[in-house]
Amino acid sequence: MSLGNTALRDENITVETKNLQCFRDERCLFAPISEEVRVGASLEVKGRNGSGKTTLLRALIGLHRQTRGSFSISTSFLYQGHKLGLDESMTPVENLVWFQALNGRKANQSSAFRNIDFLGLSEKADTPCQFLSTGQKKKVSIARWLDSDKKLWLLDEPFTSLDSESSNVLVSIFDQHLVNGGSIVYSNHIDAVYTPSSEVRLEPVELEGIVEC
Amino acid sequence: MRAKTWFHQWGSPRWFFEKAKPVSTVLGVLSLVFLSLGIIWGLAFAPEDYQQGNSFRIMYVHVPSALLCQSLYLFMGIAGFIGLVWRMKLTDVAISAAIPLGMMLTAVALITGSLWGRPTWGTWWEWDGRTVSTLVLFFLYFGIYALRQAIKDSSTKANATAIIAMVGTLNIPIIKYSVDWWHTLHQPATFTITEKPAMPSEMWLPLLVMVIGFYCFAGHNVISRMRIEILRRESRSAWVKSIATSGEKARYVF
Amino acid sequence: MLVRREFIGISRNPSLVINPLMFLLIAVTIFAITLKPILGDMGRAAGGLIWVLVLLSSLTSLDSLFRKDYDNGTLEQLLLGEVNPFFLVLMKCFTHWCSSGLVMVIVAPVIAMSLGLSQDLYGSLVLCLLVGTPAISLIGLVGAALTVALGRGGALLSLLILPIMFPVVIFGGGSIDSLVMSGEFGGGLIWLFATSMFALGVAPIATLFALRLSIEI
Repeated sequence: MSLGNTALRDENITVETKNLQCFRDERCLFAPISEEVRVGASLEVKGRNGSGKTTLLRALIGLHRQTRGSFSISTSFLYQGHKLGLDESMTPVENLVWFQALNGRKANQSSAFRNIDFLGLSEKADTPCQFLSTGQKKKVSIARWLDSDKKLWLLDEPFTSLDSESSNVLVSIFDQHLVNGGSIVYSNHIDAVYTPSSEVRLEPVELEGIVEC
Repeated sequence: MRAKTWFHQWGSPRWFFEKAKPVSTVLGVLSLVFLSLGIIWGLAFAPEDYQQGNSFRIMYVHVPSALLCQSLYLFMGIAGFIGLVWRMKLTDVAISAAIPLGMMLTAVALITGSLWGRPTWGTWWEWDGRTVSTLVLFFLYFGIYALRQAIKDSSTKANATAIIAMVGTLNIPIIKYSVDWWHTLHQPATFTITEKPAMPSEMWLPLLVMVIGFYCFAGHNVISRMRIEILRRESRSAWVKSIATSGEKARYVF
Repeated sequence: MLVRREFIGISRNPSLVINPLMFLLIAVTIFAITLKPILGDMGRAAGGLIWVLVLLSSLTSLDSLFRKDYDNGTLEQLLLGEVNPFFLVLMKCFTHWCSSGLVMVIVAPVIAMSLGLSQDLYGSLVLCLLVGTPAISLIGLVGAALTVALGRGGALLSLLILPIMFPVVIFGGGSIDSLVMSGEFGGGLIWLFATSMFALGVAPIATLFALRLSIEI
């Protein structure tokens, strides 16, 4: 089962792109990307600010339609966008329970609390998120992924705003997910925090002639 | 097979650009003929109305513009529907071309209606089904225009316009009915205000001519605007560049 | 939990409910003060007036319907999740209605009293509002979905959907008017109900479509 404009070639590949380019109003954002992400592997998307990292991730899940080339991803994915997707008037625990409901799982308060605790936020577990710092909110969003059963994680700048201790926790979460048979595609511009299985760099490109998407 | 090719051709801006030019020219000429005929006939030769004297002649502008502005909105609604379902980009070009003409015609209809009303029924404005729905039509045109101004991304603009055009098209008959219903509660007598008495053929023939002239003009105007918009949208493509550099501009864009 | 979250949102941000209500009460007061001396018995005008005011104060709460969710990213998570999207849309509509239409239905007798509507008509007024306010929430939903991603969508929202709300106000106001004049609804209530049903059929699909458009901006 896959999303995108072609089908996945085999079971072990979770993301595949072939000459994929994204456009914004007929302006091409980067040179063609042909990548493949297998089960148990991670892909880091690098590039300068404005190079199209966020757009690429959104295009993969269908939130950005102006593309050229083919891509497919597994339907079981978890997406964390630039906007965290946290309800600020709810507490971290409530946010996690809501997220569980959103993904069709039964509400499990204790598991939510456990995940919050894992990220070191237990004393803030009952404070509405609007009172947390940026880094803390980031950690709440990370806590959501812990009991997700989605195989593919598409994350937009997961390491941004995290202190070094939390970065290490995230690295261990990544490792655990890959060991469990998942795969990760994430964008990043902080150096030397995690070593992915492969990297791709988005380079700008000039196009001549007709641009059709 | 044939139908499918024809349908796909309609989706190609370049095909439309080339094929529509003769149609547009023909319609333009026809509209000139019909409109001049209609204006002269209606203003000078049609007999004076028994009740209204000469002031009824404004009907020759009012009725066609009222009919046409509603038809144009319907056209936009249908184009929107086709665009959403079959993902044709040309429909968005069509809608953007129809908006300016539609807005102007609605304004003309409202103003001429008001001018007609004053000497005839003694009032500049009356709130009945037709007037309210025309006024709302003007607001709807303006709403679409404002929406298009606010959205920058072209494909979102197209889809959002299509939704609002379709919803608006459904709205117009509902509004007309609702105001007419409201009137049945209050003033059944005023219904005759908007009823036209039977007209002799010397009066409605020029009207028919004017209506045809207006529609021809609308066709010509919308197609011309569409062709210009196509040039603008496809400005980076090879075929447009060759037109621009070939020095034959005047021939291609009338 | 999904529905609970909407109500948590309202309960922790009560201004979402209170502000439109306050707007309504203030507007009613202004009209009562300025028009009563001129019109004398405002009973006849009350019908249309109540509907217009209900409509305008609903507008103030419509813009924020999706905006908070769009800004903090929960809107895209909702649409990417595994919940039936129609359920989501109807849920949003229902919570909006609870925070505006329902509140106005409850406050209706107070409004009616200040505008001089006779007392035995209060029950019918409540019924009329009950039937018509869902249409306002439904139609408003489409406009809110279309304009949520645009910077200052609020004014554009009103511009877009007010023309489409006309039938609701006309049928609603006409019903009350007919009620005042002849003691019965004169068919208006049926048409109001029909408008609400029609909105129920068309609005959710249009809203979903518009939401998908907006999150891609």
